[in-house]
Amino acid sequence: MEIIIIFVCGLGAGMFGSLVGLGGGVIMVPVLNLIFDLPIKTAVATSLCAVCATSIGGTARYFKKGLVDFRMGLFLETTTVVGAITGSLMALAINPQIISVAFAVVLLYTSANMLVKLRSPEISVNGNERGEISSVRKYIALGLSSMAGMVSALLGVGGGVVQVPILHLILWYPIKAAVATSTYMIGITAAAGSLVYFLSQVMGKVDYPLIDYQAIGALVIGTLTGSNLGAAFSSKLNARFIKILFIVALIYAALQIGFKGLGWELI
Amino acid sequence: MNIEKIIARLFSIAGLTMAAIFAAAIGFGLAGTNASILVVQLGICLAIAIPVMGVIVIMIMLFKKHETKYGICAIILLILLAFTVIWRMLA
Repeated sequence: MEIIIIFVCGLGAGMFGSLVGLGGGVIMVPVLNLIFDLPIKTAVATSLCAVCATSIGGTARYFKKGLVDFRMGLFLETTTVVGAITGSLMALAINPQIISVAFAVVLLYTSANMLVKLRSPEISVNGNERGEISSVRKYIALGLSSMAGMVSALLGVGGGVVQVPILHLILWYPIKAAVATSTYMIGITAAAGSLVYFLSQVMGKVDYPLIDYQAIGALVIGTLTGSNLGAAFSSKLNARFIKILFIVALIYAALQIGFKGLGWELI
Repeated sequence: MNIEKIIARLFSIAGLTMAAIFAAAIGFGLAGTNASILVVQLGICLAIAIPVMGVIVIMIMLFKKHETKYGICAIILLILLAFTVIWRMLA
């Protein structure tokens, strides 16, 4: 019975994750932690591993549709990793509570910005193709991506909440292309994070299991199926509906980060 | 064949293999055999390896197409990822 519940959780998280380009950790971590009583670190490590599967399933579909701009994805991902390394170095010098609240405000502002532009038409050529983007905007995106990596390392937030708005609002990607490129990018980040957790567990650096071997199987199969379904549904869904879904996820993430910064708990 | 089609096919095949491995692990787990842990570990390794493998394949294809700027970007990304993992493991 537990396997079926975990599979359904993975299915939902994978579908939602590939629809909005966030990975689905926002669903999996609370379910594993609250329903299956896994310690929070185990829930995070297990869900991060499942995020790799979300990315693999979603990316395969999105690549088939030609929605992923892997060139820009690689560019942004490189600066994000540089930012993450810098963020880790700065972690001891900066108060994470202030950063949490400030970042929550930025996310709320971003969601409000997306909400205002909800009805404006997307700049696109031939359906999936983007219009020409000035190099100034590209450099702004690279700078913001680096800052996103820094904040991710400081607060432990997934990259999708920042990458999708950068791709959509700064680089003017259609929301579906932004989500597809973000789905590809989160897989690379999640793989590096999962490898650290996996090696720590296998090498016996921790005295408790980081990745739950009983839950991971059903979770991965669920997320893989869900992300494939989500990416397949994505083309049938209205772009505005996907934007609304993303805005809701963004507001939830903002509240979660902000409350955490203030020392409150939000499920 | 273009890069998009190659990556789509690679991820589809690797994803299906990964699902089969995890399904086998669940089967072994339900049967109560010790092999399930090894099979799960194999599946996790594959889940981690596929996105990195994707970057490597894209890098090779980009160099083949003489898109050196993006190819170098992929190499830098791989080096940075390796550095991050080693650094976090040593910390």
